[in-house]
Parts: sequence; C-alpha cells; structure tokens
Amino acid sequence: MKVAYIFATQKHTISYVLGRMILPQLEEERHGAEVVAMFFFEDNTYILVKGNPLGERLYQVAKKKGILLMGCDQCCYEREIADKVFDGVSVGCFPDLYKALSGNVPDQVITL
Amino acid sequence: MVADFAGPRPPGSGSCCGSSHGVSILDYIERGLVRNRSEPLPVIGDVLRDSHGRMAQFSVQLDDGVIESVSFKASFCVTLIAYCELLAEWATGATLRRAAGIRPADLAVALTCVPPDKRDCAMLAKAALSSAIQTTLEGGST
Repeated sequence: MKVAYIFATQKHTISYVLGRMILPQLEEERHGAEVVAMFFFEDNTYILVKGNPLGERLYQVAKKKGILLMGCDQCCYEREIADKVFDGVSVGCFPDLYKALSGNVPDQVITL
Repeated sequence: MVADFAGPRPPGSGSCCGSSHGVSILDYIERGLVRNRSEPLPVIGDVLRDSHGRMAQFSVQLDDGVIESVSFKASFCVTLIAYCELLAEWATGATLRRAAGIRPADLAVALTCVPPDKRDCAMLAKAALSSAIQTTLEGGST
C-alpha cells in the first residue's frame, strides 16, 4: 500500500509521531507501507530546513526511498525558510503536491 | 535595473523574505490575492500557462501611452501571484516601453527568498504582462 502523510497539526506530530515512529520504522525497513510523499504545514516545515537533525535523517531516508518532501509555500515564506530547505525539497501548495504525486499516486492520504 | 522600478527604498531589509526595498514577499502575496480578484481592464493579454500548470493573464488600462492601472488573473501558485503583483506595481504609472523593459531577473532579484525551483514563475508573469503590452501595441482590446 502506498501512503502519503500530511503533517498538519503541531502537537508532537514531528518530534514524536514522525521522529519516534514513522522515521525509525522507515530507516529500519519496518514501516509496513510505501511512503510516497510527506507534506508539511506551519511549524512542521522547520524539519525541512538544512541543519535540522531530524530533518537530515528524514532527508536521507527520502532520498533513498524516493519519498517526495514538500512544505507549504506560504508557511515557509512566513517563517523565512523557503530558500533554506534541503536541496531537492520543494515548497508549494496542494496543486503542486497533486501534480508531483500524479505519477505515483498514494492509496491513502493520512493527515497527522 | 531594479532601482528603475523599485522607487525609493525605505531603510531596513536583510531578511531572506525581504525584497530589495524592504518589503516582505508576504505583502506581495496579500496584495496580489486582492488584485487577482479584480475585474479585467480594457486591454487583455493572452492566457499563458507553464509546464507546471500555472496560469497568468494580465490586463491593463492606458492613459496617453502610460499604464494607468494593471490587473491580472493568476493561478495557483502564491509565488506566481507575488511576482505578478510586484510586476503590476512596477508597471503602474510606467510607459509601455519602460514596462516592457522589466526583466524576469529584476523580479527574481527583488524577491530573494524565492527558492530556485519557483523562480521561473517570474518568467511566466513577465510573459503575461508582455502579452498585454503587445495587445496594446496592436491596438486590440481583448
């Protein structure tokens, strides 16, 4: 099964759900689903900034597995990080995400 | 040169999302979203699209060879809308020749925080304005 994650809430979504569950599972090949994309809103976009330790791990996994990483463009502009994200990571909005996924469509989109 | 279009530069800038004259891209997005909903003006350029599916169309109103006002329709990317708004503000009050001389690179320089893969939006914005200018030169109104 192919899944895409949308990180929309700002509780412990990044530090806990992504950092302690999804990411280690991906690194250890035991996630149980093929992740095709992750889209980040609001403060969650900070994980995409170069130098973020968790982001660096995610970036490496994404490169290895071909996972699309994208940050909300307005969120990134607001936080002045749009030009500071990892190389190859894009910022955009839903239409950008849909277009990027059109060749690798997820079976499920999970909002966290 | 950017200074030809940017006008006086208020002090203070330097953030990655500040323009060369100290205004955030967010301001252009906000004003652009308003202008994007405005009614078309009498001289309307072609609808142009890029390979990403983004669309832009400019319309202008002239007064004695000077661009009196500018409107546009752009979708869906806020970066494109910001570039269109910046272009609209620079073109307003300019002669057709001067407006035609604005280069996509000028826009890119003004909004420095735009990531590289979004800077081609400046080319689409400029091409759409050029289409409206070309329409005026051909004497058309639609």
